[in-house]
Amino acid sequence: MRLSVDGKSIKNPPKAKTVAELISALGLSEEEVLVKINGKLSPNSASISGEDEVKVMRVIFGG
Amino acid sequence: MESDKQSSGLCAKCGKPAAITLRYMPADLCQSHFVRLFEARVKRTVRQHRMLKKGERIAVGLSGGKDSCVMLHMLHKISQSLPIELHAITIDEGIEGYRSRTLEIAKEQCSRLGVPLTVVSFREEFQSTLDGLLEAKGAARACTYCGVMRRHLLNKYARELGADKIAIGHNADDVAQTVMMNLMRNEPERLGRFGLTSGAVDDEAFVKRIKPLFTTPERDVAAYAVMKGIQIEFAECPYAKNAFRQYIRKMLNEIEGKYPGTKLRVVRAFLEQSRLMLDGARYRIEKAGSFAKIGRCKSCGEPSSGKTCSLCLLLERG
Repeated sequence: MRLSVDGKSIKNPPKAKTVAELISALGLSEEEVLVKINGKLSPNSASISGEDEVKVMRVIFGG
Repeated sequence: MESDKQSSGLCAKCGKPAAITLRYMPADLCQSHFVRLFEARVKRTVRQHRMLKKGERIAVGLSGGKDSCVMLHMLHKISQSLPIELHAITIDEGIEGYRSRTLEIAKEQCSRLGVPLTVVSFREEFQSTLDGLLEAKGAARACTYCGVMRRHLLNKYARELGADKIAIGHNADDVAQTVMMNLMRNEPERLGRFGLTSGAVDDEAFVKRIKPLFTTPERDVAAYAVMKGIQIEFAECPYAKNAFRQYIRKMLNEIEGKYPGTKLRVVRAFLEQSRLMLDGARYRIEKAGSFAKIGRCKSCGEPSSGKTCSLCLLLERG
């Protein structure tokens, strides 16, 4: 998996089979993020495979 | 995981691959059905609470952040079937490294939708940027200063534009946070004045406020922006970390993670009780007599319940 969080590439991404597992492994809340797999927004149960490009976007901010 | 059980990966409406999990429903939805749900909910909120009338001029508070950009997009969509006139107002507080980017986005959004934009800056109005002001005052009360100053300018310029209403991009998360903050600070009258529309006292100098995203969760606003290709900047105000709201936001999101739907239940509970609270606030204002009625600030002439308005008190004017 090639992983980025808020546009920053993560060199050693945590092991995760699904979006929900990935969010949890990153210490983030499902209530605060959107996740794209290979350019498509994906639900929490979506599977992640080794070749996928995964983008995690934190979308809840103050200001 | 609990969320896996709630997420099938398929749209609950059509069975196609889903794009998003909405744990508060709970359901997964494809992009098309999410967009339909989102737009229908905003339109229903606007309709049910009679926020817009044919022929009105609406000043849109446009920070350039995701909430106000999506609100502008939705109001523009509504204006295709309900003739209303939109005019955006952007307040440039002068926050280095934050506001300049969102200001550009605000200009781009207005240009794309053909909505006129007025940009007002703290520097021109108050002879200081927010950064400059907070150097002297300290950043601990940044949100108090910024909020009072922004509200003052939005009201003043909306009134000068002849606007019937000001649209504010408060979403359901903001509402749930505000309700909890007011409860924790024991400020029932402030809570009574808060709502989908303003306020406890009518005064011609106050332009009424409407909040079309009142019942829409913040994450949904972001998802809609991403799906519709609305340009947004996911960035946090550098002063937000100092705010009490930040703790409340974190707490509510933790509870939401464990008990999905909590934030929307807070909003619904507030809506059910807000009429009683508003009546209470009006009663207390009436009982207090002329002292609590809206007069004019002796320093700046803007509407104020005291001799000096909140802005002039904060800026130590008058």
